[in-house]
Amino acid sequence: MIRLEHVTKRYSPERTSVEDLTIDIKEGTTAALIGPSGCGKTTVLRMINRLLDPTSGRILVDSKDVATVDPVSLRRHIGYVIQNIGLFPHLTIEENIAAVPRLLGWDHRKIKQRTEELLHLVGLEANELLRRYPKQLSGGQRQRIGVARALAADPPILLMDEPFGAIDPIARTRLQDEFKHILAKVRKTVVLVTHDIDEALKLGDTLAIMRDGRLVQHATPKVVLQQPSDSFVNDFIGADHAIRRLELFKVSDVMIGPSRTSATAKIEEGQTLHRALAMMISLNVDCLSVVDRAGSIIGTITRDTIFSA
Amino acid sequence: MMLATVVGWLNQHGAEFLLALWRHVMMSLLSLSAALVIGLFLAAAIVDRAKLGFIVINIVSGLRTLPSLAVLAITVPLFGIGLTPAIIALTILALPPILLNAHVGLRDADPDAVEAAVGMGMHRLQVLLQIRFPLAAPAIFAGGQTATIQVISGATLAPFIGGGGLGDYIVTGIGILDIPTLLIGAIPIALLALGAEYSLTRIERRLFSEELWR
Amino acid sequence: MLVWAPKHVWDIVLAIGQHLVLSASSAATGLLLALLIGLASVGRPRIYSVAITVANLIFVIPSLAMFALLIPLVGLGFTPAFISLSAYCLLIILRNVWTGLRSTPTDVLEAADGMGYSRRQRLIRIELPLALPLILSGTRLALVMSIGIATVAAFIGGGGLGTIILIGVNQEHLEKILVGSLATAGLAFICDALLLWAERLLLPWR
Repeated sequence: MIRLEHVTKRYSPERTSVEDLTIDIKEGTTAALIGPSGCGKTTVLRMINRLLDPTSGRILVDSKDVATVDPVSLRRHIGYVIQNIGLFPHLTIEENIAAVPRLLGWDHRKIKQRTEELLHLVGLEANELLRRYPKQLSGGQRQRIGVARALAADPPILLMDEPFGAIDPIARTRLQDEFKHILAKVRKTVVLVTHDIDEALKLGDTLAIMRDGRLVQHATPKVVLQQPSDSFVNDFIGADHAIRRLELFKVSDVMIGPSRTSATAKIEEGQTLHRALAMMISLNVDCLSVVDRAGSIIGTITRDTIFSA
Repeated sequence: MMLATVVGWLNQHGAEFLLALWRHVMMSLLSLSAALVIGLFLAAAIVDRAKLGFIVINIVSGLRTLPSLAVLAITVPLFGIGLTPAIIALTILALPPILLNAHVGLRDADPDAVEAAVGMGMHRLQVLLQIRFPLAAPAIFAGGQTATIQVISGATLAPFIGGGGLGDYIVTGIGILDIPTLLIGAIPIALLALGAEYSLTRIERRLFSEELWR
Repeated sequence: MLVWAPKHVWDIVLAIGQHLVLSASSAATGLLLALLIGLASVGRPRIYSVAITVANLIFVIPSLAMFALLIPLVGLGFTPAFISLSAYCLLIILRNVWTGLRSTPTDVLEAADGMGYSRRQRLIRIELPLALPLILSGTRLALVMSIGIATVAAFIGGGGLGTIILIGVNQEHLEKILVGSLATAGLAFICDALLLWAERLLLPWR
């Protein structure tokens, strides 16, 4: 869906922001573009919707070279969310969300329907919010409106630059989880730039790790955590990556049949292995019984099953 | 042709013209100085006195809404006509920009510097003179610039309360419908104002452009 | 105290009317010109620099002198006063238009670009509306200032409340002086309040 071929962005002989980057992002997946400050990830993002143009190489969106498409029209079909959102202060929430549909000339009844639909999609129930102005909303609400606005014209692609960066850590986790749910409901190709490895692991179907303008590794979270391609990636994902990896698996993925000696401690099937290990350590036990929502035992999990996951 | 007329006229009325010019400039300078003294004194007096400050600032802001003509006119019943009432009126006109700017400049002078000075044990007067005033200097100068233009402008209207000055030629020129007379008044005034503005801007740049103040 | 005024209400009202017409039309003209020049100078800052320098020069020249300089060209009365006042208003409002257009928050600009607004659409639909608070407050200031300066129009046959003040001084008639002065100040105050209220109405998003 999105393909960058040997893309280079050079500002001057001494300043190369992106160096010979080739990457393929499959339709319907979320690629988390991650790396230290200045690695070029935001530059890459902004070349996709032509806010910047590459010095060499080409970018294909839906098999079309973006350089051949009118940039304004390209951008109207790509959703774009930046860190501070940039909600238009002089427009109501409804008018903000309706911005791109209006630019595309949608029928106004369709727009009204769509704005209400999107408001609910991003988890805001009160319709009267539509008539308010951005300054009357909290930071978390503004974030959600930013996402709603980006999805308004139902673009196939969503570009996000540190979308949760300006939110406090507690609200951020909640927003990330909700965003994951939203993404599950709509089928979009998403490129998410972040410097937060946990966010990338949580939201990304694939991780694209960059350093000094180059792509170092592009793989699924499990692969990155298990087989970091070099010492930089290894350091970047954190020394405790082996433990973090456990967050990517649910107990129901690796549990074995119910044992005859049923363990007294129970854990729900939807919990992660990370949680399971933490429980085992705090209770000082070797195994746990896995139960379903109703409380009936459906399997067992032991230290060994966790270690070999 | 015009030039010959002007030269001829100057020969005849040169002294008269110079007197008018001198009056205009002198009125302006005197009222400006008076306004500076009064304005800076008042601004200093109200720096830490909120209630007094509130009254003074409000009176002065109110004064600002009166058109220059009105200020000049109101001095007549009080002080009669002539040069002195004109100077008084011009001082009142020059006061608001100087006082308001000085007030804000003194009040908002880098609070950290002020606190450090007080903490060091400086008296209120020392803090005022050594810290606040120097830091407020750009604002006070800007107020002075505005006041200067106000005063030169007001001095143009002085003739109608008997104050003399170059405005006399304009008023006479309109009265007898004689354009040259009109211009003898208008052009020098314009040049005076432009010259003052230009010089003050140059001085400001010279005094304050080095970022000593940031 | 009020002996003359009650007997000459219509004269006073007429003077107020003349005064208002002169001030308001100058402010409106200043606004229109400021918008035209401001929008034209987006991306062409030289237009702005030239306009602002010229307007600044005119502004420095005392109003009576300015009127007088125009008399040989356009005669006495309303016209020279109108032209000068419009130039004064232009200066004040143009400065605000320029600053307003350049103060759009960067994240708003970036969002607009990324969403697919063309430059022209961005200017008209985003930057200009967001500059409105400054533009409106500049217009308000310009109108109040014009009401003050318009008193001088009395000298050149432009009518208005200045006439009452002038006659009052000539006749040493205190009441006329006061009525003229206070009416002017009152007019300025009312216009200021009205425009402030209009601002609040037009800018619900602030």
